[in-house]
Amino acid sequence: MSGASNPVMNIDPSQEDQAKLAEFEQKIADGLLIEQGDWMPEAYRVGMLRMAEHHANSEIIGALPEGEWITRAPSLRRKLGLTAKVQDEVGHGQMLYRVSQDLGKPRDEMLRDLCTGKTKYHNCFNYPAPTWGDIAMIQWLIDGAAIMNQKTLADGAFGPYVRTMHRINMEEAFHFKSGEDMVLTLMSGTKSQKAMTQEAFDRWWGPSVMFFGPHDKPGCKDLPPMKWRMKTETNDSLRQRFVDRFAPAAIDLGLVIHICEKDDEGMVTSKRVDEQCVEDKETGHWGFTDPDWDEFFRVIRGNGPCNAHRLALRRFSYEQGAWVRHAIASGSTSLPPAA
Amino acid sequence: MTNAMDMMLNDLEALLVLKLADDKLFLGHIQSDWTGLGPILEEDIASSSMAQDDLSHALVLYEYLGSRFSIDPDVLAYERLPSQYLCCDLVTVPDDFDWAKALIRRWFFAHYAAPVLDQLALFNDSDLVERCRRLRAEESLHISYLNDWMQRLSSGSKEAIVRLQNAIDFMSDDARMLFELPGMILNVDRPSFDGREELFNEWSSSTHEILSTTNLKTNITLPTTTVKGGRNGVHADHFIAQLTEMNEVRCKDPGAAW
Amino acid sequence: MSKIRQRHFTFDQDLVPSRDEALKSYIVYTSKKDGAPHRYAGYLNAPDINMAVEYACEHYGQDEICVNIWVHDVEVIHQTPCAEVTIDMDLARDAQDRDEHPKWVVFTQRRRGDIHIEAGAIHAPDSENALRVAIARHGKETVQVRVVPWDQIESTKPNQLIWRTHDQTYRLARGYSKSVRAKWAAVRDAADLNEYTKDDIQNHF
Repeated sequence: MSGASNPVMNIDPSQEDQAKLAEFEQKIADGLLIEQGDWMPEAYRVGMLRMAEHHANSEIIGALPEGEWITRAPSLRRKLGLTAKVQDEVGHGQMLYRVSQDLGKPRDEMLRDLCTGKTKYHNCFNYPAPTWGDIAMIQWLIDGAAIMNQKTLADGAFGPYVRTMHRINMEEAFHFKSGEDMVLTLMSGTKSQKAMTQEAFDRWWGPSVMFFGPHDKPGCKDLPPMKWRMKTETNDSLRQRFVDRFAPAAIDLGLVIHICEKDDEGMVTSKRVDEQCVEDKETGHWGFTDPDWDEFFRVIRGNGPCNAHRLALRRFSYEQGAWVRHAIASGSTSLPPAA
Repeated sequence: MTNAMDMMLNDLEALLVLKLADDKLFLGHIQSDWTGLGPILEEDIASSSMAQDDLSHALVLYEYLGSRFSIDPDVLAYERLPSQYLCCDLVTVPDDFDWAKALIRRWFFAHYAAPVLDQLALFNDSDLVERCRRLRAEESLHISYLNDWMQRLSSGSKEAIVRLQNAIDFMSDDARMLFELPGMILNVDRPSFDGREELFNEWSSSTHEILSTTNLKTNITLPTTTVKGGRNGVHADHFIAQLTEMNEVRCKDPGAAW
Repeated sequence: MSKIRQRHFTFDQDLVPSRDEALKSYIVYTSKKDGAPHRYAGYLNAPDINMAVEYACEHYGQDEICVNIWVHDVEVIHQTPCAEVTIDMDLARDAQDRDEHPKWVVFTQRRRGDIHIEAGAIHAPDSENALRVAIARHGKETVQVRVVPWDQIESTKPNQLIWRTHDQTYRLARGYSKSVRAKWAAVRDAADLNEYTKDDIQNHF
């Protein structure tokens, strides 16, 4: 599972060298990519650094909920697939941290800022994955959403980030396909498998619709993040694309799209059918009930079901590994053993 | 199926394959749990690749047994009675998220698995020989990687040496039991079947070759044949815990496809 | 789920910076088959170049079939700025390319955003000359030319096992495509059949 990269960006380009800025913006308008070493506005450097860092953080934390299920995967092939997928996420995090590292922030500092909550990661990883059905839903819905988002990010303007996106998308295709295979298997399975899958779907549909971030502000296309092609699509158009793709697929599978109330642990307490989720035959678009944005901001502020646990486990892992990093940074195979 | 399982468990060659497959399964199981939590991002990725190798090796061997005895490889992996698993306790003892323990376990095991694969490759069965030959090449890769780590860490810091030595001491009793054999095999009067001492000697010399370049020490001896452990289906509690966790989802809905 | 993953953690002191910054950064290139050019695969951090090669094998070597890997420190690169490369033939003629000079590997980027791909090797006494020769030989239709001293590149051994020989389809999209397609067909068939039965009953009974 992988993250959208929509950290809040307050960018003020008025302090920049205006001639160079104009040249930079022209380059982007001409569809050219910005490469490391090119002149770029300070706001762009910082913005791209934070965007890649947020994305990397999301990959590293995203490895945790699914990691919980590696030991319980119900067949050898699923066990291998899930391990490889979680491993890919660590790999994506590693490659994305590199982009930010080149833009000026040391990796270790980024890993520490993640542990202490100074920097954020994608909201959807603060929800629990209490059953195997959740693993199927994460790979199908969240990775599906991630691919949609990252395909547009691969169309961005920063060369190093774009190259990383291309690589990541290749691997995400495996994650999504394996998720689709799991959902299909479960929904073609026994009564209890179907019930488990519906319950997991109820938990993940809301976070998936929220995945692309809050509604766009008016005029966002003229603001730096989009003008400089750090991102190339609005949150709302990505969201619509997602619903158009996944709502009919869910219905074909026999799933019911619900509007759910959840408790503090992220478990569904009540639900009703989302009557708005039907196709508009004229536009071809699917309707949906706007998600609970209060919940979204509550979770972003750190009060989601799993925020504390995810960060604590990440920090534990960081601290547990300290002696290894220390030893290999000072050791060498060519040295004789210490006396 | 019970019949097929019984047939397999009474076949001497199959038992030798099965004990390695079960070791690989649980080593891969316990090691893949580290994915996402490793000490360095790059190391996290690398050790997860190797855990996937171990799981894949288990699958390759279960597929071989499965085709010989007409049993689904996943049934072999997940659905036997605890006493029908032949893995040793070394591969299921919890490492408490201590990377030194995890490393020592893998290192002990890789040096053991390589000569076992060589042994299996002498069998008169081209399918098995071919499988073992491929697995053996990957085992060599693990060995050289793990040797490298042993040498790096033991020359890195005092703390690392203390941690590795503690891990060695913690794992030693279980490591001896790598060389236990199923009772049925001990009773066979054919030299190729009881390579216990040869195996132990090979393991001792290849591990000591690395240890002699470090400050680490082991004191591990071959157990007597009267000691009964995992290879005879007599498992520690931690094995049962691992098995229960591994088949938790699968056993909830018997017969379902996953 | 392992006990650790469930544990309730408390931390009584501040987070201590680690020595990860002592790790160096390396660039990795992979080659898909014997003789195929090495293509940029990515970066990684490692304590030294030998470890970097091992890490590269276990990460970038597992994406697809891979027979050889090159790794070098990010610091040893010399390259032109990323712009249309202009070939000054006079300068290029002056540049020295003789076998007694050290060998340099040339990588080129065709368009902005593309990855760097091995273009060939040259000989030159120093980086300045190496870049000149590289530009003259390989600068056509590229935006960036990069040279790396050959003795700074660490490579995997010939015939070294990198890509595993056991079935790897569990980690590739194509490993699932056939099954996904068959299952969708079955799901939709079942839905069609239900629909048909419903209509059938309505219309005829």
